Amino acid sequence: MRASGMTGENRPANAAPRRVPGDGSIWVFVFGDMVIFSAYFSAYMIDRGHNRPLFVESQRLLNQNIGVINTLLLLTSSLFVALSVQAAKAADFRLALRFLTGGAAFGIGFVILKSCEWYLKLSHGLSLGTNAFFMHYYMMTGLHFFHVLLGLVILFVVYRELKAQTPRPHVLEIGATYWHMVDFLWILIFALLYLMR
Amino acid sequence: VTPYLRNPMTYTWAFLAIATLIGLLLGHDADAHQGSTWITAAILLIAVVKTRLVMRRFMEVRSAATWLKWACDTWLVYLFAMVLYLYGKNF
Repeated sequence: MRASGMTGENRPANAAPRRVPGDGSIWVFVFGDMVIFSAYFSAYMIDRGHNRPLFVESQRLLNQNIGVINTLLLLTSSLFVALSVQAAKAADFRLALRFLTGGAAFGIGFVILKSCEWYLKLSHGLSLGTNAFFMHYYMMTGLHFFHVLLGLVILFVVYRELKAQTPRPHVLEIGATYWHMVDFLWILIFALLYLMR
Repeated sequence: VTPYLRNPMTYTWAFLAIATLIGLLLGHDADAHQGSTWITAAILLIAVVKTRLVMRRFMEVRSAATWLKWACDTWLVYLFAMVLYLYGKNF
């Protein structure tokens, strides 16, 4: 699936075929997750429609500020990972490592803050069995949390590649693609769970 | 480091951060008005635009194969329409 090519929008007629970032297999995985999450989003919206007052009241118990900070943490993490890939492509592996470490640090920040948020909710008696909204809240954020943890493991694999100073370009891009997917899934979860009324 | 911080990806991040804060303000507004289809549509639209930016800029879909661009955009349009339809149906 991989092929080299230009990265700009203006392409000459004899340009190489457009490429797929990473390789085809990571995009199969990404689209698989997109389908799974969109099915979950539709299930959430259907349940929400059946009991809108309960969902709106329960949503008010979530802390939007924590949600925003978590969003900013993942966005910043994504930026650092994207810059790391750019630096690696420019063969500046030392800088790429620093950016990647920054990206992982913001990802760990997300994990810590999300854990604190769950702890606060549970200590207030808001658990998976409280009502339909909190069932969806824990399931959706829990599934996403698992993706974040897996993403951190993948970033560690990328870190080792960079540390060896002989990174395989597609490995960096695969890791980055997965991490950005984790970012955009959270953007959508944040809008659905925390913001819409 | 400086050239990397002054590149389009950093500007994209700044836009995404500002859009996140606008979404938060709209969320507060929706709360005050006991829900509003227009505010919810705006919140969803911002989320979809942010997702598209992450895909195109950070995931490099912007310069990727045409089928990949179309597949990402189709999913985003489907998601936006599906959520808005289910929201409006039971409002």
